[in-house]
Amino acid sequence: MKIACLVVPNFALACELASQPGLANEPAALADGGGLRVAQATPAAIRRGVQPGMALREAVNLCATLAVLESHPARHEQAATACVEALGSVSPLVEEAGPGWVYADAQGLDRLYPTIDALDHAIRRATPQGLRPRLGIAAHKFTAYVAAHDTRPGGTQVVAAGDAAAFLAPRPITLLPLGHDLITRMQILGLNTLGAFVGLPRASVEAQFGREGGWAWQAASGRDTTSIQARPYRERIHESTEAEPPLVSREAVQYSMQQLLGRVVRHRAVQGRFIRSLCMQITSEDGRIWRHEQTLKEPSNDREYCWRLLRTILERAQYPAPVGALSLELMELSQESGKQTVLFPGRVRHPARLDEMMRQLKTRYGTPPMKRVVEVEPWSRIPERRYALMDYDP
Amino acid sequence: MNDRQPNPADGMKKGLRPINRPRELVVQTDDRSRPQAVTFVQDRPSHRQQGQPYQVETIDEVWRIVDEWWRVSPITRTYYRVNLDDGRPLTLFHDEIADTWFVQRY
Repeated sequence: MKIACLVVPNFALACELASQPGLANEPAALADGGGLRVAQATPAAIRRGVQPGMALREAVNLCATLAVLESHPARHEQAATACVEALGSVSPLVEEAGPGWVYADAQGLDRLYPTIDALDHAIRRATPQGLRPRLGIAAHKFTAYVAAHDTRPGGTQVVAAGDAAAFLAPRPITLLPLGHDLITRMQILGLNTLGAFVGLPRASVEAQFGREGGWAWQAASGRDTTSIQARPYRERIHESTEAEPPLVSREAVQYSMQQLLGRVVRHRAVQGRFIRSLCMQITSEDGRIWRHEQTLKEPSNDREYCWRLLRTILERAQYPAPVGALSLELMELSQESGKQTVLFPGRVRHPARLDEMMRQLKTRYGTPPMKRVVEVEPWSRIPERRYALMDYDP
Repeated sequence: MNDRQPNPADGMKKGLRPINRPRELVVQTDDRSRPQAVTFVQDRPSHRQQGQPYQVETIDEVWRIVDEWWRVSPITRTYYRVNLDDGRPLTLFHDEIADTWFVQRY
């Protein structure tokens, strides 16, 4: 097995620094969503006492030259997708463990990339410029992750299968992808390195830390057996547009989305097929994202039906700021649309006739003689609260 | 035995009739307070006289619901999914506040 792991530590900050490369070695901090606290900081800022979670005002007091960067989630998402696609361009089996943390199965690619340098070059060529991703290559996932984490920004580290245990032994236990509580317990027990952890018998580790601990023990000894969890293939038809100047009225947003719908349903791949799900994404001018995914009750290729649905959602949406870009995606296209038909069509009474009959019966008996079942609290744990009978009173 | 009954209409909208209300039954328990035999008091099983107990063959599942502790009538029930000696599956619960047994589909 050969696994490649691409890691961009402090991913959100790295995305912002990619557009301002001059700040990479300077004290800089990324503000959180509320713009009040430090979310991530560069090593130069941390050396001057700036810490994630600290109030920005306090950070600026500590470091007068601190550059405060605003977060642009749309930019981060775009970069994360680009990282996944970069590894996807060299291997069909790719797993995204988190933003800027991607694994690829490089087994069997020797003919395409005969040397590690060729593989490294192919990945870096596809990765967005400026992110300076770290690349680790090893026989197992965890070892590849540690190798990537351990190397310098923009560097590559290869760990041979036989050297994995010796390579991992001196590394800190905090590299294990376990919960904070579990890591803290390990540290309380004096287990600060992966080597100290592996020195314990596996049975004792499992007795103390459970199944998760057993997996961690195996991973720390260089024999992580977990495989790449490849993302499922989903066909997506996508259209997007940019608004210049940004849209500030709801009507303008609706007209733009209606236009996108018209464009996207004209795609050749959509002809003669049915849409099962739509995803609208609106990016504000300051890089914030509003997204809504809607699954249709039944597959449809009726543009008017789709538009009525989208318009209802857009009428109630709250956008974070003036709209800078819109996109619309059609997902899960199907070849056929099935409709549940009635098994005994002759026996079904027309609703209007049924209503009329109920009105006559109510006049005769004073109360509606028929009831209908209604959902009251279908989620309730108490069975008698879930459904109830209500008068059928047209 | 306390005469308090669970009030299935609690929390329902006015005019609605709850479906699947619990029905009372008599249960003999073992020394661990688990159901051993049940006797139906409201419905009439076709092949056995009313009042005659059915033995509990197996208990498949046990779960507890403690809810609405902030209300005047809180809910504390222990549910048992059991199989009777005639092969019938049944879901029972013990209302721990009223100390009464009920049968109810879950």
